[in-house]
Amino acid sequence: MTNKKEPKIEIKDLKFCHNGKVLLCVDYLRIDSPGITVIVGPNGAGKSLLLKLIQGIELPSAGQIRLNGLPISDKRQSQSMVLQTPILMRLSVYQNMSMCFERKNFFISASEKQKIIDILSRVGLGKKLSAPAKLLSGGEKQKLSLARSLISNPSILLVDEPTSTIDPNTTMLIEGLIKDQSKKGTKIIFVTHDINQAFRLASDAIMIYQGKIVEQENVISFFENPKSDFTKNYLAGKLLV
Amino acid sequence: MQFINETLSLAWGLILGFDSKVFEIVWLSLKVSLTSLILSCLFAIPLGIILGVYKFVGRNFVVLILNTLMGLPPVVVGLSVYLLLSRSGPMGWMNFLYTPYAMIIAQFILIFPIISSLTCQKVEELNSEYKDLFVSLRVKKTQQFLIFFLDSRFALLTIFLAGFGRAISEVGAVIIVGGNIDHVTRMMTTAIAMHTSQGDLSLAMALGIILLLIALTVNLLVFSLRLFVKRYGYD
Repeated sequence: MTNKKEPKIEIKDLKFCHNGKVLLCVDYLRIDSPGITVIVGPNGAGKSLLLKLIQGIELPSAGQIRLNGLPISDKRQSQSMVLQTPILMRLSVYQNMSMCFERKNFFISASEKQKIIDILSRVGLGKKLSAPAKLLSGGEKQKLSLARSLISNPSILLVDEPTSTIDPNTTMLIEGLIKDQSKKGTKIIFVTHDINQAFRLASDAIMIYQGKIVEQENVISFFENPKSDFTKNYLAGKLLV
Repeated sequence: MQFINETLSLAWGLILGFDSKVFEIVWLSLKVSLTSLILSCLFAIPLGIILGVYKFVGRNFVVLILNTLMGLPPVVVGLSVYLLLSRSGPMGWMNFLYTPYAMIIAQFILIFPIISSLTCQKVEELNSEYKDLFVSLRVKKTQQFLIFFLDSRFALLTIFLAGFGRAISEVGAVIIVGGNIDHVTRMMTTAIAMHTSQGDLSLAMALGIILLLIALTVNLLVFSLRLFVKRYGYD
């Protein structure tokens, strides 16, 4: 573990409306525990929306989100996000990394170049540096997307269901990378609707249902002794909404 | 039919014999068209990227004007540039009228809206595609500009070739501001018009064939580029 100070996410009176309908309503949520916080819930519950609001991709209709006491738009924030569907540019694998990399000068230095190659090798794309990113397989695209988010060494990494469409082997590899990054001191917030994956990764968990936070507990309490009936039913596989 | 065959035969004779008069006209046409095209790209591509990325007051108006100017009649451009560059005009002191510079200015005005408008459309598409990516990775604006430029490089090359096609085949504006002066401002299109009216059909036909070959080469380049882009996943 590094000595990085644990980032604190604080959400107050958050509301997100679309076409007059409230899609997400969070009175208060505080995430300041170390490790991986997993957000679970059925499809359409508002998990991805919450992540997009924390990253600033969507803007709230009301309320505020603060990271370490600062607004999310503050330039000092160093969080990044892995999107559910990777968005890759019509460039090579290496260029997809280098173009999004916050470099010191216009041209990339030798050490920065080495850093990119190291991260790509870590995710298993070290031999595909010059391959067009659009021609990668689904799993490779997701690995590249993850590598691109890790390059800036963020203090918070938001991960939105990265393994929902990929095979079990790649899923395990991506989970391993995320656990490694967490051990390095990056706070991970991971969205999934897969209970088993949540159990494998989480140090604490949040349950969302119909745009509201139903439960927030550490992993043992969440899985062994859930407080809400909804969480109990969901974990038991009873809820099919 | 024999008349056409004779004309064609003489025309091919001029081309294959590297007739100095023919190739002097071709060389001037290429020089003027490429210069105006490069100058247009230098200004129109950054403008297209800015219009595609930023939403500012009056932006829609600028886009509307550029789209309208895409169909600008060349003779109107020729007339406007003529008025500007004529001795009594505001830019008359430059003495550009009836020189290749005047033709470059006229072609610049004709190509500029095409390049900037098509670049703007492409960048708008990319901006909506990459909006979430840029926020998710907090990519700086300067880097976003570079990404738009690199990502759309093949589309920009196609736009470049479209601009070249417009410039090289243009006749209305360059004949007004260039005056079709022998050895000075005689371009392929203006020479074809003049030699046809004079009955020197072999020379007009030779220039016509070269113009067609240039158009064919440009189209072949665009076609090959599209194939390459699809094949190597840059589509």
